[in-house]
Amino acid sequence: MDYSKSQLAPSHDTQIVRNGGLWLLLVMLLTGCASNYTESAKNFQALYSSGDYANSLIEAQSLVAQATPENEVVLKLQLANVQREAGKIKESVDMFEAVENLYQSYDASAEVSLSAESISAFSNPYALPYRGRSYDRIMTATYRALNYLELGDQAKARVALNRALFRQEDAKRMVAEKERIAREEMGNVDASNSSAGGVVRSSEVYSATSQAIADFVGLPIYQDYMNPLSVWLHGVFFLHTAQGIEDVEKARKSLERAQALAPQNPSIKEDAIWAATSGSRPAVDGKCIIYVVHETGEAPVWTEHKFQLPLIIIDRNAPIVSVAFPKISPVPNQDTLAIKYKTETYNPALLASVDGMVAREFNDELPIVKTRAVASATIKGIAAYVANKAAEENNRRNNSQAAGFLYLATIITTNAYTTQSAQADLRNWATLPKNISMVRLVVPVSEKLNIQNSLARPPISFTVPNAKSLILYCKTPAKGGPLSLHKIILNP
Amino acid sequence: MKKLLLSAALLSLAGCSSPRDAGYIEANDGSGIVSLDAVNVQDFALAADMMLKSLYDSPAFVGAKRPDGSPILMVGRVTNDTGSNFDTSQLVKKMTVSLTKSGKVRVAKAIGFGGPEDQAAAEARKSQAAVTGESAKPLLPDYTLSGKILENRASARGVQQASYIFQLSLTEVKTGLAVWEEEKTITKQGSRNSIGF
Repeated sequence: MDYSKSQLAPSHDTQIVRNGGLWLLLVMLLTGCASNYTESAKNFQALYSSGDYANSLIEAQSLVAQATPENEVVLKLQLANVQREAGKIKESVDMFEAVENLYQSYDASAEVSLSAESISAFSNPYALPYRGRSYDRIMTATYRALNYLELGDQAKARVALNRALFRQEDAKRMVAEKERIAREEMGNVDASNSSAGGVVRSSEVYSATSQAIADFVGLPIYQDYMNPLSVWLHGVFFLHTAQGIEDVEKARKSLERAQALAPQNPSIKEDAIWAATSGSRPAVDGKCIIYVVHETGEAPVWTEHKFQLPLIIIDRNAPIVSVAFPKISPVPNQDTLAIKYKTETYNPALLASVDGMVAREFNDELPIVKTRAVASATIKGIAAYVANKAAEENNRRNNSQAAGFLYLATIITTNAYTTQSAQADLRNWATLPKNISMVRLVVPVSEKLNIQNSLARPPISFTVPNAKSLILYCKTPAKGGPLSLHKIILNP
Repeated sequence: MKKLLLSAALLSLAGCSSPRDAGYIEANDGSGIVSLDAVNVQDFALAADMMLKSLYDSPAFVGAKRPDGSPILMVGRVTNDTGSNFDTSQLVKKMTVSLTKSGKVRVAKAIGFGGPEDQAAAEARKSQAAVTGESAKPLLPDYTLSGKILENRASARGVQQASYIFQLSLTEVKTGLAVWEEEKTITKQGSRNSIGF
């Protein structure tokens, strides 16, 4: 058969279909696999919240074993927390160390600031590694310090507490960094001449993102991104383990700062006064200074808020485009704690609101999240529109049943793609508590304390050891949940 | 559209770079990895060199002799007061190696702050004393070496600075007075980025 050159060359309409299809295919490929992170973490989270640490440990280990490098930090953080509550302190120390090493390796690599092209292809936020938010990093160092103290390694606890303070300074610096990245990425979107910039600034997007954090009004906003638990722990550690006057001075600064961060907690005052007026470790003859710390509830839950974008192009070939934002909501299930000594009952007062820390950082990240999500959805919409337009053109020229079917199939596929592929990044350290409270007691050695949470469980009886000071770190994962207790000797 | 296709294709290929081959470097020649978040091996080497120079230039050991030889030094507590974990012997060992080689001091191993550095030597002394029927002579040091390593951070206009401050003191046990003290600071700068998502 003699084929002429014109027969071999692709026709114009075939080229349109090919180009439109190719573009859509490429964008779809760049989307990557939809992440099932939330689904896979659901079972683990339910077990952890119920206080079933033995089984949640098995789940967490399995999640870490299957973790992709992008999810390694967040899954290892969860595992380290469960190990801590399951009594495997040494394993928890190693896991937190592994996470700290990951932070350092991420910090040594390039920043995650997306160019115009990469924002366009940024359809799947799970393709980027979770590098740990500022509050994650501060809490990592704080839990490391608590673990080391429980193991009696005060030298390493000192280092971890210093790290916690440096992480707070980093957090302050990162606010400016986030603002810069948000501006830069918005500039990239505007420069790309797509309609995404207008959509990011639209009232629909503004209203959707302002709902994402509406439930957190009235929470404490901590000055300079400080974490009151870390600051207070730094203070009491350096006070009770002081190796010299410099350590007492460090303690004074931290305790005064903690007092300003948690003014509703009267227990910090006495130590702050001691540190300011005495140059030595506090001690009361025959008695033990006990700090009962209570960690309870769950950090805000992250859900996906999906909505339809305003139309980018007014045309019957324009697909329906969805955009997905993360939304955080408080989990109202915190417990209370009562410590009974003889006829007296003591209740810990609020020291730190993790909800407040999470909400503030979420709010800081929102401009970047918004730009990335909208730009990604817009470019997917344009790709789908080009594919639809090409299929329509092909149908018009060929006017065959097959071409009509192809056009219809393209419309259905592109609409399914642009509505279903939008995904919000819901990765977060979900085993963090909601609130942390604290009370200070001075009790004679060998006396008994009864510690009880809200349910009518038998209280835990604690005999005061022969030590000058200690921390009783208690945890109830949810209201009425089991009460676990860590004994940490500060000054033997 | 071709431009966009090209950009996307380039993006999909990003990250395919060949790793650097492993090789040996000199710890002190400045070619090592410099971390803002940690004290690197070259920092310890530099700090130890500076400390030793200061100690050798000082009159700390002048006239310090025992009837049986050079004075005895015990290594005391060197507190790591930074934000990164490391073994402080990376500093102290370099100093005791040099001091021992120079004959200025002998370093006590069978006693030490928080327990003997050489447990076997301590046990062997006890055994030897038991065999000979004599009690082991107390090993009393003439000097103790102690100190602290601190960290200071600062940042401005996207540049971060980390300073590591090495403080050491040599104390004469007999008088309880410091006969030598030194402080050396190593400062590093760089831009570090750590957006958390």
